[in-house]
Amino acid sequence: MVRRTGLLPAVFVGMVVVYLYAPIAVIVLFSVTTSPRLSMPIEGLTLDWYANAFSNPLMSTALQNSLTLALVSAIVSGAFGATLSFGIVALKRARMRAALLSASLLPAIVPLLVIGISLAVFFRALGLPQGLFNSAVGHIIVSLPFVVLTMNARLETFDFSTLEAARDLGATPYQAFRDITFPMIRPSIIGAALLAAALSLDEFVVTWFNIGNQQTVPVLVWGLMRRGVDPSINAIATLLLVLLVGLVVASNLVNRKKSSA
Amino acid sequence: MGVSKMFGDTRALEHIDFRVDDGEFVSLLGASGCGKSTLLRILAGFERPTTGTVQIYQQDVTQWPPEKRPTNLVFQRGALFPHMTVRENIGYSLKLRRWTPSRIDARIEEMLALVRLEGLGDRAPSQLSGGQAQRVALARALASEPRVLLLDEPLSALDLKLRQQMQLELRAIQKRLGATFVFVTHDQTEALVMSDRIAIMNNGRIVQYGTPREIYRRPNSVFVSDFVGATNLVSGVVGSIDGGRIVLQTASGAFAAPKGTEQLRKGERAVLSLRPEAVRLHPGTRRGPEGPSVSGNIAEIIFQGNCVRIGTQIPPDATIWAELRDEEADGLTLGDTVTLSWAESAATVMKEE
Repeated sequence: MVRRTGLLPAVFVGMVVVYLYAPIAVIVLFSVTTSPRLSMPIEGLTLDWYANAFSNPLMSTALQNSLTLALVSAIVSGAFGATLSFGIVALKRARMRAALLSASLLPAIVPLLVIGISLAVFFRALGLPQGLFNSAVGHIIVSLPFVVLTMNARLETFDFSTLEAARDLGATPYQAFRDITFPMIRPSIIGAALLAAALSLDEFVVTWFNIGNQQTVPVLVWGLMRRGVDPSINAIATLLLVLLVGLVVASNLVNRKKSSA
Repeated sequence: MGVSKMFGDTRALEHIDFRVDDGEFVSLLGASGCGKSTLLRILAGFERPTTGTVQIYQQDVTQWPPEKRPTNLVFQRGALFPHMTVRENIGYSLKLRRWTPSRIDARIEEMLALVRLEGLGDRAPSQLSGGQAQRVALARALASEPRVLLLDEPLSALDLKLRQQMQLELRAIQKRLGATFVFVTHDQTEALVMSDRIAIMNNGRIVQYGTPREIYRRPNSVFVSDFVGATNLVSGVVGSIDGGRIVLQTASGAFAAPKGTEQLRKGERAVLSLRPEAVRLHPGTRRGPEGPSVSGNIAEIIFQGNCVRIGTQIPPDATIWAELRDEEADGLTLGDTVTLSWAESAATVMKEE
């Protein structure tokens, strides 16, 4: 196939890339410059803003909360989502399968605002005070569709006759799950769980409505921003960025490793 | 063995009642959707019959789950465990049975030798060819010495040459082990080559159950004669029944044939089935030595490599196909007048469907 490259397409692609990545690049850049304002030219490089960010006692609590929520989301969403999609794929009736799959993907389409507010109202009706637990429930709801989607893609190609083969060779349903199903889908579960962790780390809207007076990293950043743009925010954002990109890349790697095996 | 099975599921299978003897190689032969795979899955325990029972060695296993049954199944596409090596695949059933590691290893080697895959034990299933994968599947199913081995079209994904080779190997392995094999296939040649007995299935019923020879030579219905091998069918009315001999009156003449298993009455409509390879061809209108014969004109000549198929138009409007060796067809051209003859015992008369 002959591909023609012209100046115009190249410029267009360049503009799209700049549009997508310039804001991020600016934040990363100014997280390591000495100037307290976002201004050019760059006078010098420093890691002070990172130190500054961590010297804020609120920051370490927020980071701890964020990591806790990410871990809970990863484990609960991963386990729950994997079970759910396995159950859906195993259904015999195609219409039932399609309906249940759509239903479990719905939270990805419902506006976060709606999820956040309805959860807050729900927990209030139950008499539960706002806090980390409520936020965790919210994070699981938000990340579950993505776990189901990832798992579903894997299970579409899952050869269910291997399970019958295991049973036929003498395995009880539990042994077949332990020896065959779980080892085969484990990489996908881990990948999906990492994705859930990434989604949880930068979740703001649902968290905001449910966490009360506690803070996660995004909530803290939002609070700091109200008092003016401080370069330590750039540092926090950059850290969050590295963490998220790392999780998503890891998630893809784990999944790809499986499909090539 | 005694798999006897009575069973009435209106949809997939209807009143199937058959038994397989110990050490027998039985094929379930039928077109797709005839219920042969369903029947096999009932034997394996993946499906429960709606009514009726499954017995294996005088034991009623109808309600037993697959893992409890003394049967193992070789799947159509192998269904090897992709995350295990060939060795681990073969040893899986033994591990579940808590054999000692040294005994498992010995058995795995034995199985690898049986399917002639020595040295490939450490490969992953993804590194195997289609034929090798099916051999591993076979070794895995045989490792725990099941009393009955069930095979669900295990060769259908292989190309012709390999399939023919595997057919003979499978047959040899079965004879060597003296095991009971129930083999599902839609390929009539495969069934004829491998089986001690063949059960022909159609619409959820077993329509004929017998040795390959019986089924080929004495099909009990138009369906069977048409399904197994090629055949000429000429319909007519039963003219006379005389001891073991039936004369069929057709538009093209009267033909005699031995009486089959079916009850036929005089005046009833019936069909004569005649295998193309049993038909001899003589130039002109000269009659053959003895037996039934009919004259006509050659309408088609099809060269098939190992044989030539010749279609002869006989009055009023039937075509009889004959299968000749290439040299025998030398000098025959379209439009030639020829006389067809066959041994009386080569034809079969059966009820019209």
